[in-house]
Amino acid sequence: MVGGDPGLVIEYLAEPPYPGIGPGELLERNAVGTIVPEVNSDGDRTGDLVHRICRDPSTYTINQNENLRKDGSRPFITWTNRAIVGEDGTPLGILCVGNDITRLRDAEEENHRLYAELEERVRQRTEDLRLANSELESFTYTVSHDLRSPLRAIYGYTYILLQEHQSDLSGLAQRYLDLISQNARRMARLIDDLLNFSRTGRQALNLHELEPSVLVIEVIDDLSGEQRDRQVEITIGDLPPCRADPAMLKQVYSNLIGNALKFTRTRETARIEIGSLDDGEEVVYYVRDNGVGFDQRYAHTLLQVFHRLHDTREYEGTGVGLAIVQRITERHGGRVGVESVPDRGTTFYFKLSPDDGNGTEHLG
Amino acid sequence: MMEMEQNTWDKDILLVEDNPHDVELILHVFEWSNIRDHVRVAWDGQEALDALFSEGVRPRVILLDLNLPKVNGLEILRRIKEDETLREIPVVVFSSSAEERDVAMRYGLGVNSYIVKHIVKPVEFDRFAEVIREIGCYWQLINRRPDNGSLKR
Repeated sequence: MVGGDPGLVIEYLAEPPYPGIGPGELLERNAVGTIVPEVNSDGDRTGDLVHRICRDPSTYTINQNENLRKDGSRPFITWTNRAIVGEDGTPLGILCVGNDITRLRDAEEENHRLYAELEERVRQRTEDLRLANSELESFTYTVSHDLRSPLRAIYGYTYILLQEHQSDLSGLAQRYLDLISQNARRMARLIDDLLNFSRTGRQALNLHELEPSVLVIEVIDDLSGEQRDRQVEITIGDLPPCRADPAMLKQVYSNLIGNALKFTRTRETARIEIGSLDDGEEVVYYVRDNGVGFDQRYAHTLLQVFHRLHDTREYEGTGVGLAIVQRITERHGGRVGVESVPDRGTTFYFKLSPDDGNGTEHLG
Repeated sequence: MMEMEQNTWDKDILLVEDNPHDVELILHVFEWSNIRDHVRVAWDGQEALDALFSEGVRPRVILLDLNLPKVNGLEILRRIKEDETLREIPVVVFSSSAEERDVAMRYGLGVNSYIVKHIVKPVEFDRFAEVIREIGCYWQLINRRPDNGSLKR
């Protein structure tokens, strides 16, 4: 092709660009209006681009533009343009080599469309999940509240019977009423824990930079009643600062240390070690005890709500505490893990950040 | 003393509660203080509004459950505190929800005391009964006031 303002006149065609065009058909004709549409699908004047290429081919060694077929369809072509100059430096024309990329472009567009569709589907699914989750939370909440009402009646009437009609009751009748009260109390505690668990999922995270050791000391203080009349040795190791919700992290320590105190009850000296493993990349915190431990095979069931490994007669509890620990660490993007040897003790590990592949072997 | 009164309603307690077992237990505790007969029960929110705004009942104390059918307790609380002649009547709120209590607090409606209705601790019913008894004592106290006047200052 030979250029020169005001147009790009086709002087030579190595190969007719499209079927249906004879080799001589386009010669001496302007490229714009024949193989290049005057206005492209985006509404831009293609002629302007052609003019710019003609004026300075070196800045347009490669360009992509819409082209025109005889049948009116518009293929996309990547053009490689080289200026041809005579020996004296006068411009003789532009050599344009075209490569039809219409199908590639279509495939790319299809790719974009599919990708957008996928994104939309993920968004929709996430929204569905969020809704299902919040419905479940509000269901748990409602159930927990409505369950309290009959309990209040059970406990209230039993209380009145024991208070006002004690003389009418046999020893066995009194014992059974006591048992009814005890069970009502236990159920009230289960409901409370369930409510607490549900709240842990709904509450917004209030993240702060904090020193875990401050919370740990508070927790140990709160649990001092548990340590009365017992030999308890608690050691607090290095606990690097972290970013967490203070109330939630305190709950984690409260549940883990409370657990450790509970399951070391039979030990002459209970030893509880609170510390961390820091490989320089990430920190894994742990709470270790020398308590009764459990068979590591059951470790995976331990974190489920209401799941208990020990008899209620031996160790009280509702089985919600560790599920709460798991939920809290997960909400921080972290995880919880446990290692235990029967009769030797248990160590709970947790971290508050996503895995980076290192130092998480304790978390299973 | 009661027979001296023209309008005995002015001395009474309005209990707004829809759960029959809660009503029975509360009345039972009032019986310990011999004031069961002075309690009027409104079984839902509408009945409470009718008593206060249509019949013009002016109790000494209102015991109000927040979770009520038809018109909820918070709405009743709001209406009471908006009304000049009702505003000064002490309202004791029964609620089993900490969130509800927070809302009531935010209303800043001069709620005189709160009772959380659930039983979590073993002593809960004792505590509940104790509060009911205190309300009874309070009622007897203001009922014995020589001027028998309204609570308005």
